[in-house]
Amino acid sequence: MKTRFVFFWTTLIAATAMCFGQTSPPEPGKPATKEEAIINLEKSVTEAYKNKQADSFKKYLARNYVGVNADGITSVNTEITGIEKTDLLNYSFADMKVVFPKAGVAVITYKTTVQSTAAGQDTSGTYNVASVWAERWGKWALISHAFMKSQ
Amino acid sequence: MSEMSEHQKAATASPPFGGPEFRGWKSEIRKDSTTPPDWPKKSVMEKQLILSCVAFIAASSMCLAQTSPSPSTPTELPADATTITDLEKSAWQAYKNKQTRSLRKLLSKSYYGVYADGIKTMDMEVADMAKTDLHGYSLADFKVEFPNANVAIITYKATQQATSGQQDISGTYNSESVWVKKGEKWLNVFHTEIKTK
Repeated sequence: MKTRFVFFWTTLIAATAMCFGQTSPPEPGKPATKEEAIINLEKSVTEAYKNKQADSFKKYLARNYVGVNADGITSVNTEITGIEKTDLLNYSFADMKVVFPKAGVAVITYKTTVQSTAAGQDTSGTYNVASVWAERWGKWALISHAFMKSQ
Repeated sequence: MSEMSEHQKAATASPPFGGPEFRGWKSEIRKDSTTPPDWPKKSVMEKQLILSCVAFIAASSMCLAQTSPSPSTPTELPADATTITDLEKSAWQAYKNKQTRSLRKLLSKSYYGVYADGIKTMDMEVADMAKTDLHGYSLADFKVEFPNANVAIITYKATQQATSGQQDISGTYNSESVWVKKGEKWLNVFHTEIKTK
């Protein structure tokens, strides 16, 4: 009976250790904080947009993604169409802040300065930006993105 | 040997996992006073295997629960879109009537508002409300999405007649809020208004 208990607890402890291993970042070395992970996602999705990598860009977006800008309310499809019309030549981020209102939900806000054109028009300038990310089955997806030219 | 059961024969002839480390384990089983003298050895091993499998499955379930903090399970129905629309309207009404406490109750502590004139926390939003006169407004084209059972995104067009300080900020704005369910309460974690072109 004692042996069985030892065996039972050994299995349980081993499995629990796997649980913790699962939630840890996969890369060795200095683990990224939760905030850094969201910042990296935001940078990655922007880079995919800049490089017109529609497939890669789409992978970051939730199916029911909603975007807001001065032109209107956008969906995944309108964002993909926008990639074709937009030339994002250069960009920089500043004042990035990340908050987690609830586990599995992240809001990131920042200012971005871009050199860009959209449908032939110069859209360069500084914009106030916010994105909302939601985690589902261990994967973060962009559910909302809003940007507007700062005054 | 001839008196051994089929189970005992099988267990003695070919231990399931073979190696020498298992011999020690088996010898401990024999010492187990709770094991009946004629209990087949393989049955004990099978029991232990089942026990460890059950423990592993239980722990794996915990793992899955841990890596999915906010999934919408099939049994969880998304909140009615009307609830979110009503909450959004409440926030507008509280803002118009300068009801600080009512507005604060609707906003998350980590709320952010993003506007052309800046990125605002809850305190900044409340401070703005004090200097803003919202004379009238209408809200149209509401759409509500639920990325999961605990998150709602509402979008709409807001037409307002308002001044902030000495500035006329009247116009039509593309608007969005994100609401998050904390316990039984929905809280606004993000709001934006962008003047339409």
